[in-house]
Amino acid sequence: MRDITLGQYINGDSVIHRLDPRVRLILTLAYIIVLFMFNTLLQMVLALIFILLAYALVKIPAKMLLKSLKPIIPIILFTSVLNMFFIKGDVIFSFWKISVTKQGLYYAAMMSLRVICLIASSSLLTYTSTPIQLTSALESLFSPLSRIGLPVNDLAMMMTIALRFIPTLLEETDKIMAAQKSRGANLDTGNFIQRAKALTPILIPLFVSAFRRADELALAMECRCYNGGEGRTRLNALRIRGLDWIAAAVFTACCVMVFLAGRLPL
Amino acid sequence: MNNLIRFDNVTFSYGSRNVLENIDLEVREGEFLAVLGYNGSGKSTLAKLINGILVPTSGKVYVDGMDTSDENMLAEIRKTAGMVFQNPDNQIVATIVEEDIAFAPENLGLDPAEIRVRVDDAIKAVGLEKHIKDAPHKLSGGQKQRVAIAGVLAMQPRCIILDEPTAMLDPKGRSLVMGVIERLNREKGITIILITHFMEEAALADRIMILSDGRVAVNDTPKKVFSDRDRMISLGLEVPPVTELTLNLIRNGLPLEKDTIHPEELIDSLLKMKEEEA
Ligand SMILES: Nc1ncnc2c1ncn2[C@@H]1O[C@H](COP(=O)(O)OP(=O)(O)OP(=O)(O)O)[C@@H](O)[C@H]1O
Ligand SMILES: [Mg+2]
Repeated sequence: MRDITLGQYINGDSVIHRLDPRVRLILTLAYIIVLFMFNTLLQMVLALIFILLAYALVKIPAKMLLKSLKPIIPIILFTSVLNMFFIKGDVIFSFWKISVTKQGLYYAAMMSLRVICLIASSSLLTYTSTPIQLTSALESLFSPLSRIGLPVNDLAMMMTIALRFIPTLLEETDKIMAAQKSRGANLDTGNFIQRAKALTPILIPLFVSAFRRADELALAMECRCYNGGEGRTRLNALRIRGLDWIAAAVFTACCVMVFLAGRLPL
Repeated sequence: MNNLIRFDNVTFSYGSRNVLENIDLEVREGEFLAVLGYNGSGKSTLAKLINGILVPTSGKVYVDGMDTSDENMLAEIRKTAGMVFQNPDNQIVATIVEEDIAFAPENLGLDPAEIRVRVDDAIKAVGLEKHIKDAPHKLSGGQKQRVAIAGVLAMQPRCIILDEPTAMLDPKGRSLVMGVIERLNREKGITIILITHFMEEAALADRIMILSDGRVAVNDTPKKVFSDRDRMISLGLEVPPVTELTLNLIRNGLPLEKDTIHPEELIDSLLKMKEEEA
């Protein structure tokens, strides 16, 4: 099984890997917003080229990209078909009662490209950032909200602890399952309700142990002077560096150019 | 030398029953104290009283002169007396070793450069430099426990209380962890309070305290404590394996010392006997 604490992260040393995770997050969001503002096919194609170049920069094999796109192929096909057949306009060809229009094709292509770019960009974010990096990025971006009472630091701490304990609890689940199976528990057969019932002797010990762990962890954290998020500093504090500014500038420049390209008569 | 930790007639109860009764205890700075006692004799409770996790029902506990019932002093007390628990899995907070070790200094609000120095020192002290960027759940039990010790060391405490730190480890992990504990005591002068069920670990201490029925039953040097085997048995404990072996050899007529508590001592005396024979 893949290591869940790393999520989909692919270790690397590319320019994108070296960006501050906040910048990666914001640029991805900006890219997605911009995708919905583009309204010509040329702009969409340029957006696709942009994200493909980003993938090339990170040196992620095309196979990975295709794999992340696979689950959404049915959605793309479905919306494309709907667009093709139901948008009225200049008929290209028709049979029976259905006609395919030029506008329909155009919008189908737009929609498909938009969805592909959307998935590709968000996958790129998770390929280049660990969940922990994303957590600290969100913590830092939302930190102004702690002034209006949102416990941003505590939420981030909860997220970190969850990530830390998921592998431990998974391991424990395996152990409990093996223990119950060796006592004759039957977990793999029967109908849905029977199988759900068979899970009880797994879930109860798991919960009991999770609560005991939580108790001990809270104690250990207290012993290490944890006192809520206030006044905490960080070993690896996030820092915006030159590279981040350059990335933001390149991204903005590309956006402006593509917006201008939208004005071309095409 | 002055007393770093002082129990002044401390009684503690969780409900109606007293778990600890009229405990007086003094631990000198730089001392290595082992605490023994059968299951449920109140050892963990004693440990939690030291750094203010629990507060005495009556009496006082002082850490470097600070009263643990004074809430304003708690941060300072916990910084002075760090605590390591039995299960290493349940005391590691972060997903990367170095970030876990940085947890306490981060809580203390130190600046990143200072945290870096402390993390590097702490990881070196427990000999895990190679694993600084690893995920804790990929380490062995002994390594995890050393990460936990490093996490406490990063506070630069003057005293570390360890509550059965080796109970869940295999023999190799156990001896590595004990090696680290001894080194911290000898080389850095950190006061150690070690709660354990392993008599050979207690033999390494300067002094042994035995709890029984919530009272201090014995408080003496390991040699004196372990030379009285009958008393140990009556307290629900035993003597170190090497002492047991020596007593057997004495019963078989070998002229050995009754208070042999370290394997090296026995080896030395046996070698000496052999030389004299030759
Ligand atoms: N949170 C609690 N609430 C009530 N009673 C408790 C609590 N914790 C411990 N006790 C009781 O206090 C007594 C002493 O417990 P303590 O954990 O200090 O013993 P111990 O010497 O550490 O035992 P062990 O060797 O098993 O670790 C035990 O009888 C125990 O049942
Ligand atoms: Mg205990």
